[in-house]
Amino acid sequence: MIGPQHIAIVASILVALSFPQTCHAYIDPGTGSYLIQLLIAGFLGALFSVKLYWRSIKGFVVSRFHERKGEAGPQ
Amino acid sequence: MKDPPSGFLCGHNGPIYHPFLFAVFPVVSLLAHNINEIWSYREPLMLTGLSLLSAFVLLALLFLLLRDWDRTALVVSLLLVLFHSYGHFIRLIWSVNFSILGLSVGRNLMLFPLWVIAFIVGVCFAGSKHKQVGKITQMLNIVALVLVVLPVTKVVARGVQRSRDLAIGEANSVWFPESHSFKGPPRDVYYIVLDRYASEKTLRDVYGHDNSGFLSFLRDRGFYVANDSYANYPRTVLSLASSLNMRYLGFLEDSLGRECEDFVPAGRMILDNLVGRYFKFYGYRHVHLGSSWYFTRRNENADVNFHGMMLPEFTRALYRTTMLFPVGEKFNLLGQASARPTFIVNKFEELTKLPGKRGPQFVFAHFLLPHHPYVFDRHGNTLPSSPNPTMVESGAKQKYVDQLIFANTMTMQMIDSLLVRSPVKPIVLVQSDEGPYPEGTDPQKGHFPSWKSASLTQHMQKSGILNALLLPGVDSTLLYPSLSPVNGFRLVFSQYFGADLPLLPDRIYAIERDDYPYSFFEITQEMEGMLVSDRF
Repeated sequence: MIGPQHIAIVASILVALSFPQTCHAYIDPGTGSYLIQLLIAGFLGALFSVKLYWRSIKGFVVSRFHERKGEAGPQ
Repeated sequence: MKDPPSGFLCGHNGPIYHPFLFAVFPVVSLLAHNINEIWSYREPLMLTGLSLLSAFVLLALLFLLLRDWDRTALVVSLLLVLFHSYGHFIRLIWSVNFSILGLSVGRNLMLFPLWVIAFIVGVCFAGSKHKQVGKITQMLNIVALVLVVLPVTKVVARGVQRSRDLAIGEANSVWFPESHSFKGPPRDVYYIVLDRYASEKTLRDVYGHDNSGFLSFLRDRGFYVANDSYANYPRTVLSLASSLNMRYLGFLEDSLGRECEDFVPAGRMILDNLVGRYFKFYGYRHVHLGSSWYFTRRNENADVNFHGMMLPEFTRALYRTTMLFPVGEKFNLLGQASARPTFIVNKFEELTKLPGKRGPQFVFAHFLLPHHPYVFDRHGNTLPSSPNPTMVESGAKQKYVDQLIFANTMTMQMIDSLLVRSPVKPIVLVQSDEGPYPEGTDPQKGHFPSWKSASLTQHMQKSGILNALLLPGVDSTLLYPSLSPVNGFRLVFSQYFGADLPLLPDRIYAIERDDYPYSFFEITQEMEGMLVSDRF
């Protein structure tokens, strides 16, 4: 079965291959690419968190919606 | 009630592996970013092993305290990310000048407390009775996996392509000498490379410095100074690949293509160079006095390698991004804060000890002088190094001249010492591999110019070099002002060993872009035209 790990790996490979190569002739700390990778991983992590907490999020939204409906009911 | 998970690194929702991935990520990220400059994976692998071991030890120790793998792993991962990203954030906020009540606050003073606070908050969160810690582990596993897969993909993709490229490069570089022996008494041979040492003309016209004193010294000691010499290629990796293999690099352009971005095929020609192989063949002892630069730090073919206390370039780059770096600089941990100036001075001293040792010897010495960072004033006093090498330093021109004057002093002392101590007058080549970058064109300072549109004056500055040869007993009519580095060892081998290595036409090449090292175009005629017009 295809799990979130598999999707993450495929997405990462595609992103990595689309990164431009850099040339310095010196070893460069690569701050830009380091931070971009953190951002990409963070974004995917956030998406995965939404999936993990989907029930709670949905439950929270639905309960809030029902509360409002109840408040706006017949006077 | 659900049983607590048992077993090593078993979390509430499954296995935990993110701390190990967070430990590996900084190393593979650095490797992937610099994959075009790195030949051997030995150093990154050693650092990966060290990083994994640190993660393991941290996990084991913290588990004794927290007694919960999910929480322990969370704290360790947070610690690793903060530890390794510190230097990147320092670089990111480099341009920010921050002051409180008019007092300037250093970047470390701004960021260090923030990092400590972030860590404490993370530890408090991990220690709280948060029920979702198993889900956080799952999320961190995914995040860490993505982080590692991204750079590993780049490394593997380059590795596959490189195996093909190197096969082409090596097929073109196998070239064994015929059986000859030294004519007359065997002499030691010294190849001294002063990186980015400008030509006399550049020093006079661009830097306002009269270098005639140093050149007169060389002439007085019997050197021939090739006044109109230019680097055959305008970058160290190409220039040394060419001079140390006594050939032009057109075959790399032909086989790898003009858009190849990989420096390694040229760098490999420095690491395993033909000149060194020739001397080994002739029974010479090969002494390599490297620099901190990746491709000349060590030479596996050399009998003796000297690289001082300097950390290897890759390790140093990783070290600079950690929280250990500001502490290390402050307290001179491992002697790294003073490693560069000490290394340079020690290398000059080491050179003077070589004459008279079991020989004959071929000595290669690469000095990152007057190349920045500017760590010496003109009297040899050490200066605080610039904490950010990408920053354009104020007063860079004067600092360059001062460091060049110091390089002159050290070179003169070293040459006198070699001449006095050598039982037989040695062969000495003092050369620069390239000239300094014209203002606003240094790729290390964030510029990637198109050299195709550069002015002739800019080319002249970048390609004009110092080229002085002490060739005892060689007919001086063989030497001429535009003699270029590609012919230096051709002269040595043909004149002293009788090798059939005729001189090549002296050609000057530029590259279209700094990130395409094999995008050569010839500028010989234009440079010669400049020289002629200068004379009239």
